[in-house]
Amino acid sequence: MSTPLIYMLVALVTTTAMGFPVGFALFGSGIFYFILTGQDPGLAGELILHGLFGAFVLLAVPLFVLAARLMNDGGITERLLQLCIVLVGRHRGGLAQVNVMTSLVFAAMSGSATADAAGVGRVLIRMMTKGGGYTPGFAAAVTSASATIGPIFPPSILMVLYALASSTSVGGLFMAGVLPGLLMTAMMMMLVAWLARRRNYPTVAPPPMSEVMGIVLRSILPMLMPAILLGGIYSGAFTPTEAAAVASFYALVLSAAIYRTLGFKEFVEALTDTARVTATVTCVFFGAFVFSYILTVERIPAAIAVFFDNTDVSANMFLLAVNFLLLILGCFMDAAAIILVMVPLLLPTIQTLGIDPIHFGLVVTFNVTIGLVTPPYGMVLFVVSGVNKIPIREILAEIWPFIAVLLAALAILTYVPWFSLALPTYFGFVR
Amino acid sequence: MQDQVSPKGVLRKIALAADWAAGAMLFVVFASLVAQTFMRYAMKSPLSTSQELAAISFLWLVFWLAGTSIALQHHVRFDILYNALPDQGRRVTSILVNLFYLGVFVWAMRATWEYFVFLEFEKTASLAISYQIAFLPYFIFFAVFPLKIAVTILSLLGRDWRESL
Repeated sequence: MSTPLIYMLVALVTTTAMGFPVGFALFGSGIFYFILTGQDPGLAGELILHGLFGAFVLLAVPLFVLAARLMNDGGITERLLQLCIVLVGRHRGGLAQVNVMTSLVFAAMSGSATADAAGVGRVLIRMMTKGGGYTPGFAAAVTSASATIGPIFPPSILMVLYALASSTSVGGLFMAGVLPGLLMTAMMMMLVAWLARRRNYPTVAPPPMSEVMGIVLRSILPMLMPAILLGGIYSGAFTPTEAAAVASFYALVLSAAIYRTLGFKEFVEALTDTARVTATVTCVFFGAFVFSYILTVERIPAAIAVFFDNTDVSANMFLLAVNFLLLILGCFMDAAAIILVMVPLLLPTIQTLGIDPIHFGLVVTFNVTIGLVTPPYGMVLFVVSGVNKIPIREILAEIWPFIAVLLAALAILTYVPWFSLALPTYFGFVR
Repeated sequence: MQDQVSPKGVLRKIALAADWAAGAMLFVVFASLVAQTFMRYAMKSPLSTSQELAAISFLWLVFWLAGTSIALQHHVRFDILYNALPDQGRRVTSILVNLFYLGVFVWAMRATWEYFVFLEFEKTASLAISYQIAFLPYFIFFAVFPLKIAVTILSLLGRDWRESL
C-alpha cells in the first residue's frame, strides 16, 4: 500500500464519517490520489464517463424504480393485495400473512424494498392497525421485514449493481434469487403463524365466492408482468435492461390506458422522483468507479486474495467473515454503496477460494438487504416510519424475531449453495 | 406571493424546472429502450441508435441533477457520527471537509478542461455526435460542483448556518 493511497483512505474515511456524500467523497479522494501521485486528475473524468457510458445494464435501475412507482401510483399493487387476501387471509394473523405474500408478488415485479414498503406496505399497515387488531409496531415490523424479499426475488436492483461490480450475468443472478426468495417468504410466514397463535391475531373473513372470481380476474393482467419480465429475459427476447423498460411500459399501459388510474401529472411526478433517486444512486456508482480503479492499480484486491490464500482460510470461514463484515457495514452504510465498494475488493479472493460468483452475489445481496432493516441506518425502517408516522422504537421492539429469521435464512443460503445455484446451473448460467 | 419573488422562491422554481428537465431525460431513456425492444422483437428491424441515445440521456440525467437541484445533504451519506456531534462541532467539521474538497476540485479543473478539449474530435459510434456534447453535463457538473461547495461554506459561515448542517 503506497503512501498516497494511505493519505487517500484517511481523507475518504474522515470526510465520509463527517457526513460528506459517499459518492463525492470517493470521487474527490480519488482525484486527491491522482494529484498526490502526479497523475492527470482528468483521468477521473475519463474513468467515470466511459464507465457509465458503457454500463448499459445500469439503465435497468431507474426503469425498475419507475415500474414500481407506476404500479403503486396506478393501483396495480392494490389489485394484487386483494388477490393475496383471497389466498392467505383466512389463516390466523391473516393480514400479516397477506403482507408477506404481497411482498413476494411485488418483488416479482419491481426489485426494490423501499418501493414495496412505501407503496403497498402503507396500505397494509393502515388495514392492520385500523380495526385489524395489530399494533402499529408489529404492522410496521412485518412490512419492513417482508420488504427485504424485494431485492432477493427477481428482478433485483441490488443484483444489477452486483452484476456491474463483478461482471457477472444479471440473468444468472436473478435466477439465483428465486429459491432464496421463496425460502425467506416461507420462513417469515411460519414466524407470523407462530406469533399469530401466541398473540391470538384475527383472521380475515374471506370474500364471498361471487366476489372471488372478480378479484382473480382483476389480478390477471398485473400477474402477467413477472411472466413477461422473466420469460422475456430467459427466452432471450430481451436483455435485463430492456426487460426493465418493458416492465415500466406495461405498468404505464395498465394504469394509464386500461385502469385509467394514472394521469399525466402523476406520470410526470413519477418520472421526476425516479430521476432524483437514480441520480443519487449513480453518484455513489461513479465515485466507486474511481475508487475501484485506484485499488486495482495498487493491487489491493490481489493482495487480499494472496493473504487469504497464504493463511489457509477455507471458503466457509471466508464467507462467515464476509457475513459479519457486511452485516456490520449494513448497520451503518447504504446497501448500494457497500456493494459497489466492497465487491471489487473481494472478487479475486472468491476466485482463489473457488466460490461461485453467482452464489457470492446472492450472499452479498442478502447481507446488505438485512442492513435495510437493522438500526441505526436501516433505509426501509426510515421509509416505513416516515410514511406511516410510526416511531422507529416501536418498529424495533417488534422486528427482532424477523431479523432472527433473516439471519437463519442467511446462514442456510451461505452454507447450502444449492439454494442459489440449483436454478442457474439447470439453466446453464453455472458450469 | 412574496415567496414566489423572493430569492428562495426563485431558487425553488429553478430546482423544479431542473427536476422536470431530468424527468424528460428519463423519459428519453425509457422511450428509446421501449422502441428498441419493439423494433427488434416485433418489427425484426433493430434500431442502431437507441442504446446510445439512452446511455447519453442517462449520463445527462445524472450529472444534470447532481449539478443542479439535488443538495449535498440529500445524497447518500454516512451521517451517524456526524449527527452525534453538537451543532458547533458539525459546523466546524463541515467547513473543514468542504474546504478540503473545494481545494481538490479546483485543483483538478484545469486537467478536466484539457480532457474536455481533447474530446473535441472524438465522436460516438452510432449517433456520431461529438463526445464533448455527449459528456457535456459532466463538465458543467464539474464547474458547478465547487461553486455548490463554496456556497455551502459561505452559508456555514453566515448567520443562518444551522440550515446548512
